Amino acid sequence: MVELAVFFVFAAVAVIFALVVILHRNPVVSALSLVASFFALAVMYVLLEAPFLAALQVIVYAGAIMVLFLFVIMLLNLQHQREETTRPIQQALGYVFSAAFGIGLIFYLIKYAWIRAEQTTPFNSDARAIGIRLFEAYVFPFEMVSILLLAAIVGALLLSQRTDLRGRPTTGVDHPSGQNPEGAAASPRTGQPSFDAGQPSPAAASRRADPHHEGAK
Amino acid sequence: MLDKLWLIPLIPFAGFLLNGLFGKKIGNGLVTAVALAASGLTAMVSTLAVFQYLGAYPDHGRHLDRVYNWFTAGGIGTDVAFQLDPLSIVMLMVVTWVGFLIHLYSVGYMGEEDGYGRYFAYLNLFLSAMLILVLGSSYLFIFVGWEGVGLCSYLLIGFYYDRDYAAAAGKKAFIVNRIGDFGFLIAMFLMFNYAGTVDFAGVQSMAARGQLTPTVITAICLLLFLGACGKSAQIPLYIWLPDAMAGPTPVSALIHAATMVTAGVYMLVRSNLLYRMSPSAMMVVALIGGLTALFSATIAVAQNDIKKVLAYSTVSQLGFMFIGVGVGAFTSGIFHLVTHAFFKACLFLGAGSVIHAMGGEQDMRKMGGLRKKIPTTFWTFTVATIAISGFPPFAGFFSKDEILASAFATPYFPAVGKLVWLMGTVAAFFTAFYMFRLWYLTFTGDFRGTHEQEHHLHESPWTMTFPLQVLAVLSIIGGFIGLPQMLHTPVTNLLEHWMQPVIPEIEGIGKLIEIPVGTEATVALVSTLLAALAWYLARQRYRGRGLAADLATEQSHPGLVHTLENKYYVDEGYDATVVTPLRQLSIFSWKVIDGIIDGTLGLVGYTVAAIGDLLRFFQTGNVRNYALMLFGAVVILMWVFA
Amino acid sequence: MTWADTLLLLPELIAATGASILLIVPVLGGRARGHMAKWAMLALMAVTALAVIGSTYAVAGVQQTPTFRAMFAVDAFSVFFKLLFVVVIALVTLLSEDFLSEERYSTWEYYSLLAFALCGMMFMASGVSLITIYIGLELLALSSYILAGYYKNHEESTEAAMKYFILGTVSSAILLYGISLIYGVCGSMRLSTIAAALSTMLSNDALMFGIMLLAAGLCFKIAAVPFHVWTPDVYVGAPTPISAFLSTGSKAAAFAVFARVFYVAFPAFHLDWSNVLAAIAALSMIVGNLAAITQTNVKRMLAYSSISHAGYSLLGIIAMNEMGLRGILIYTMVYVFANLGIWATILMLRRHAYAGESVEDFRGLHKRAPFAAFSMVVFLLSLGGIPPTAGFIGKYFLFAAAVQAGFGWLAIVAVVMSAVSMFYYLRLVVAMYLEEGSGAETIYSPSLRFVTALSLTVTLVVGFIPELPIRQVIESSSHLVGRVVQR
Repeated sequence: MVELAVFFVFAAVAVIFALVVILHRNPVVSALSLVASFFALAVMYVLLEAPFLAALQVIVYAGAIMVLFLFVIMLLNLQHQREETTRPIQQALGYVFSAAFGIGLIFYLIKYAWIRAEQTTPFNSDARAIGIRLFEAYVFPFEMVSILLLAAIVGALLLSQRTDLRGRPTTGVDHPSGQNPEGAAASPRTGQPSFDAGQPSPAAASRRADPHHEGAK
Repeated sequence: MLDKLWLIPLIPFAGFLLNGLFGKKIGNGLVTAVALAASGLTAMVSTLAVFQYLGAYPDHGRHLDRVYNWFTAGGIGTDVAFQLDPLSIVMLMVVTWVGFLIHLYSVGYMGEEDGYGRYFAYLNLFLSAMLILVLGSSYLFIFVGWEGVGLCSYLLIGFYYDRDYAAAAGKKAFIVNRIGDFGFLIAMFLMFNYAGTVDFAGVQSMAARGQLTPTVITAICLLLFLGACGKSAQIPLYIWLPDAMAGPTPVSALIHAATMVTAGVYMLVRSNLLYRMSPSAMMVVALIGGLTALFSATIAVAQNDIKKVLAYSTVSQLGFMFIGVGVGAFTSGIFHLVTHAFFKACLFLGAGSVIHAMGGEQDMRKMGGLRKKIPTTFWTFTVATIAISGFPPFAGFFSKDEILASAFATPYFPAVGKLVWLMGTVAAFFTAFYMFRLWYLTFTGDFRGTHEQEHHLHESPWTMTFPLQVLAVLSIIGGFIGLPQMLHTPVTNLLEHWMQPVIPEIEGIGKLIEIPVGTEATVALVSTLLAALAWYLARQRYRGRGLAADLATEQSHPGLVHTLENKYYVDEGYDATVVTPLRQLSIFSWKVIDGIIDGTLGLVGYTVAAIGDLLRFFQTGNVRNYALMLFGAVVILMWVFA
Repeated sequence: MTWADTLLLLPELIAATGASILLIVPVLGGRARGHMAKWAMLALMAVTALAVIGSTYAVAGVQQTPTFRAMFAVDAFSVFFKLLFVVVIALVTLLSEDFLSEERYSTWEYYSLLAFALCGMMFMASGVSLITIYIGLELLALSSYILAGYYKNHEESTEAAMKYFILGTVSSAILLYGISLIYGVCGSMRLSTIAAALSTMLSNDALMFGIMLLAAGLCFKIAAVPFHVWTPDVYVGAPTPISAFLSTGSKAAAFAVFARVFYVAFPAFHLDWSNVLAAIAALSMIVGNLAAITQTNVKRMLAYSSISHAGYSLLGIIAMNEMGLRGILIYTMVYVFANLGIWATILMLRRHAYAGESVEDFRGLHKRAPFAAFSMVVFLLSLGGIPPTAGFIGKYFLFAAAVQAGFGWLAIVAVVMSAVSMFYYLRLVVAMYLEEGSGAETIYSPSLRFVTALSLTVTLVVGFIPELPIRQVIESSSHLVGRVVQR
């Protein structure tokens, strides 16, 4: 009974904060609300007798990832950024699709739960069990992920490398000083990589002005 | 030779490669030599092969020369194999020899044009593809040639690219043909599904053994006919042929009169067994043929461009061939194909000679009195005109009357047969009329062009007149290969006996036509009299008077003349019903379906200023709409399908 | 897991290791020798190809050797695709040479990312569990995002990368959601286990929903309508060699996954999902071809054309029969080579950054570069499905499969639409052969020549003597088809 009460309280918390995330104008508030929502989700895991997952949820998502988000938001000085205008129809369609999606999902899951309601075997989710499975049964995808992460790091570094004002990449073959070009990545302004390269060329601008209508003749 | 049939299409292909790759370097003289050698050698090798065939197959059976296995893995392929049988031989002889004559003619006609080497390269490529089409032993393999001739036709129609309509006309031809090809392709899939093969003999034997249901056979027949409609310019897909006249005149003679456009007739005769098992499909063929014959003959009456008249005439004559095939007189269809190749090629080449003499002028209103200036062209043209109009004993008389008599006597659908006969007879009347109108306007009366043109008038070189003379002679005697029964000559119905093995009599499958002598005589008499009447009327109206009579008609019946001149507004109709909507649909799918984003959802705020701004990019812009669209699609999938 | 298992993994290991080495070289002082990167990359491709071929001997006589708890399998199907991928990446490497030297971007990282992408594609081809497939797909996608934005100094490139990234992430989330639903219902991510679970099930909404989401995610990767919106923008914006890669290799990998997942895991529910995919295929063919007609930007036109080709290929999945699977394999191969050849010609015409884009650039090409113009015609005819080019054989199999499976209407749509497609393919032919004028200058490097020649050879060989490739394809796909028949 208590479980049920706790569940509903935290479910409500999770949903409310999730709504705040998407509705609030200030991105910092949004990010913090997401943290709160993650905490509430962690409680769900506890209720499902998966404390290790709950801990992971808090450490990885609420701790690491969201803090990173906050850093980025603050570095980019986003808190005063007003939301760009959204067309009403865009918004309306967004709501309609979301509602349709949500209703459908709930409908299907309930229907499914109805059919399979009898299955109740709790699954073993302590750190040891998960660790063993991860490094035994799932060692292959686990190692694949490491390659994925390596590629991601390369990509992040490449994209965040600064280019000089003439639009020449600092990593070009004729890098003047020969110093380690990766040093540039440490610059605090890495968030806005390529657009401080000056005004766009007129040709690019005109192309952009009419991205879909080049062939209208 | 018989085991090297593949050489026949390969020789012109080699000519294509040589002229296509080195045409610019080796100069016009060598280009001519290569092109003539390729086409002449092809013709000679083919003839040699035919003689060997006659020796090796006294019963005129099917000779099969399997070259290699194109693809059979997966069970839906076929061999690359060539076959020789009476039907192939008829086509082979027409294609190679008429092809050679037209190559020869082109030497004179195209002599001063740019792109001489390119022209002959395409022409040789066409010959090669056409020979694959004629000699291939399965539907799938002849489809290669079928598409190949379409491609060459496209390239050759667009040959004069500096005339802006030429490229458009070529494209129209290609696309319309592709629409027809869809019938051909689906028909092949049906054959694979139900018969398990696309080999001619295989499909026919499956059908003969009753392995295919009538519905399937009818479907296959109708789909094949759709393909034939595209290639052979029948209603409703005939619209490309008149525009195809934008190409050089020898091309019109070779591709758009003598050979390629008759491919549809050839294929239907090839499939005669299937058609005989499906009278309803035959009826469709006969009716479409009759309608096309009549319809385009009336259009031809009001055309003033000499090539346009001949183009509509070709459509109309092809309609006659389909009448023959449709009513079950397959041999007469082929008969008319052969005689038509002779006299229509002669007419086109003659028209080319006229145009050549006139310095490129094609408008008959500016001609007149050419009789004395270009005598050889004149007499050959006259012979061909008489032949197409159907006066005995010229070639066209025999073939056309056999078709009309067969339509009258057809056992498959007697009532409809009479109707088709009526359409054909009226069409024949118009044929004689517009041909003599053309003849009088061009060759009699006073010259109506400019002084310069008059000064320029000259007979064409021998390379052009020689093919004309040969074809004229053939237009006279070509009909003797199919003399009707009633004449009691020693060699009656030569062609029919020759074709016997291809159109076998099989127990329980639609019988062949027996034409009563009385019917044949009556039909022949009626159409000859009508042709004479048409000639008389044309003579009254146009002899020495130019177009005065037409102008008078225009004043009294402006609507009628306009309708005819504008070809019943069919092109406009197509534009309004097919082309414009297609274009609009295209713009719709591009601008609206894709532009749901930019257009409908209206992100006008996507301005130039936003470009460099990454942050704004994140927050406005297409991406949001794209994502919305993705999400919407998922929701639709979820609700509609899941 | 044994050492033998690891040996089967050799091609992927080599690709990943090679990618890492390419990354390290500049740090070790190789930065200055940017032109060496191409050769290093080609050598890597050669070694990888050898490893792939070697792994076929390891599985000789065995239909499939699943390893790593049946998450990764080496079989003829995967070998077919892996070889195709290696060739594609090698050709893209050749295509990139001029682009990199002209724009002076760092070469080593570029090739390293291509190698990572290759690694991801090979995982996709070999994945027999949804989890491995998903991670492979992500590896490919991640590398592609970065490569699409490699033109950092061009707004369009960055924008394309951003669009691709955001939408790709959305689609990836959709895919993952589908996988989790399927896992929830079947209790496994192994394709064979899923198939076994499904064969005892009646209809199931949650499962169908999962399959739909999975299909939606994959449709995004192959750019099928209505999940195609990113394609034109990204193809136009991305560096041209990368557009070439996205429209060929990336799509081929997605089709490998599409085919394996649907043929192995979901045959039991064929009736339920085939109609959905049929609608998607028909829409792709219609919208793709019609929208392509009015384009004058060649890259954009190719983007729409590639959308329509995704529609044709889907016929093979919808048909769910032997011929369909063969059709997908043949068509993928044929399409890849014809497309690479076309992209090579476009690259040849590039003037500064973005030429070779408008149809006008192609004017009178047959005079300036006869070989390129001629091969271009062959490629276009192949895409249009005109015999005896390779494209005809591919389309022939796919359409025949659709007719055989009772989707005659879809085959009719496909045939009519491929007739329509000649509209815009011919426009390029007209520009090259029938129009005078000075189009873009041509820079025809040996690398581009090689790509064109190889693509031309494949296109013509598959067209003229298709027997051999078809045999190979049958061999490569028969074990998957076997499962279909068993159901």
